[in-house]
Amino acid sequence: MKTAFLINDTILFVPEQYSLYRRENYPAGRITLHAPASDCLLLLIQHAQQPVSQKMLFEQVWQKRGTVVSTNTLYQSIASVRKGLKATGLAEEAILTLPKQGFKCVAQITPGELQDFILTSSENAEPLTEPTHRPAKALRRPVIKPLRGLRPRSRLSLLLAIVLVLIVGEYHWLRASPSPLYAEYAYAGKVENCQVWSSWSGTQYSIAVFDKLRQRSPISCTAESVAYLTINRLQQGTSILLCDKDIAQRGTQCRSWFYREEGNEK
Amino acid sequence: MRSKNVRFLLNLLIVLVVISVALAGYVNWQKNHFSCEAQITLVTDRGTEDLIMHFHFSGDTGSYESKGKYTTRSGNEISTSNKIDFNFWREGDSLMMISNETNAIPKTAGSVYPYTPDFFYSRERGIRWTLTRENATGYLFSYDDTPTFYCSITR
Repeated sequence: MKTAFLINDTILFVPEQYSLYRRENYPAGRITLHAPASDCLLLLIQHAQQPVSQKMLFEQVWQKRGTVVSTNTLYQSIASVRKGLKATGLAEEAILTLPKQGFKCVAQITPGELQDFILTSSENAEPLTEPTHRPAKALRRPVIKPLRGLRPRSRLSLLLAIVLVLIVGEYHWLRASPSPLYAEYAYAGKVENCQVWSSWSGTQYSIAVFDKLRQRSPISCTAESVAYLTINRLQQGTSILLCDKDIAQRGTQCRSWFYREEGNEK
Repeated sequence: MRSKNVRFLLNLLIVLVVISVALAGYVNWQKNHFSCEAQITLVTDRGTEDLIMHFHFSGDTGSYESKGKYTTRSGNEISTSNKIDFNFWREGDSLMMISNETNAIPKTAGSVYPYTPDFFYSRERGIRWTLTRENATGYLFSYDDTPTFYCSITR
């Protein structure tokens, strides 16, 4: 059985081990004090809410071991105690300095057995005391974590990217009229410098029609010229569109020939 | 800093949405506001006419101007010209044009090219074209399912 003291319901002090623990973390997070500091704390706790003189501390901590120390050693030991309490998470000032008198422990002290103070896992889940800064942070984290998957800035960036893609798509969609007509034409062959593309799939017939039409009105091609021949037996007329390059290219220049017979007259 | 970044991204998003809406408006506006030029040779068994045509579309009204030369089978050459004001509108891929004023020279309708649609020489006559955007700089005008001329956008 180990004697222990619960300080402000949050810190466990085990004199036998010269140790301080945060109760909810026990046995993790152990802070070990050197022996004189631990004895100073024990003496202050045993006289909690009462002034403890420097003389008493010197006598009970050092002189009984046959040691004589300076006042600074006493102050250093008290400083170690304060540092240890702070390291275990005690935010409040537990030990007050009483000028020209000594020290006073003002924390709420509960004496008992160590086992009595150890929390079970279920008790650990519910804080027994008012939340301090650290538990508050611990409570906040689970709320934040699910949102960390996509932070506001990332979400906005993603949204911007989508909007940009939509704008580009919108632009092309708006610009698009029916599919380019000549994209469906078949290559019929080369006649002199003319690369002939035809609405008719038969290459020989297309070339024959192209030659016949050229006889009616001369068509001269340069090396890159592309001629689009439309043979339309059911509708009005036949046409040839002669372009200086592929019509799908920007800046293409074209000239057309439109052939009609008297029988086509409306 | 982070707050500033988020605010910046939000402002950027608003700007992009405005650009998107403006772009849609501009592209639609462009469809009814442009000018183009075409060269065509009309060939019949009576003769041939070479034409340079200018179209100007502005909202729901437009104008057409042409200059050309008609050559008969016997070799006679006649200069031709025309100027037409018209109303127009879009119906899907089609462009409907109704003539207001025409100024065909020679004056005798159909004397030069007998198969010309009456839109080109009479008032309040209609013509329907199918417009196909072949590339960024030109439309293909089709008449009765036959590609007739390619009009290069000039403005």
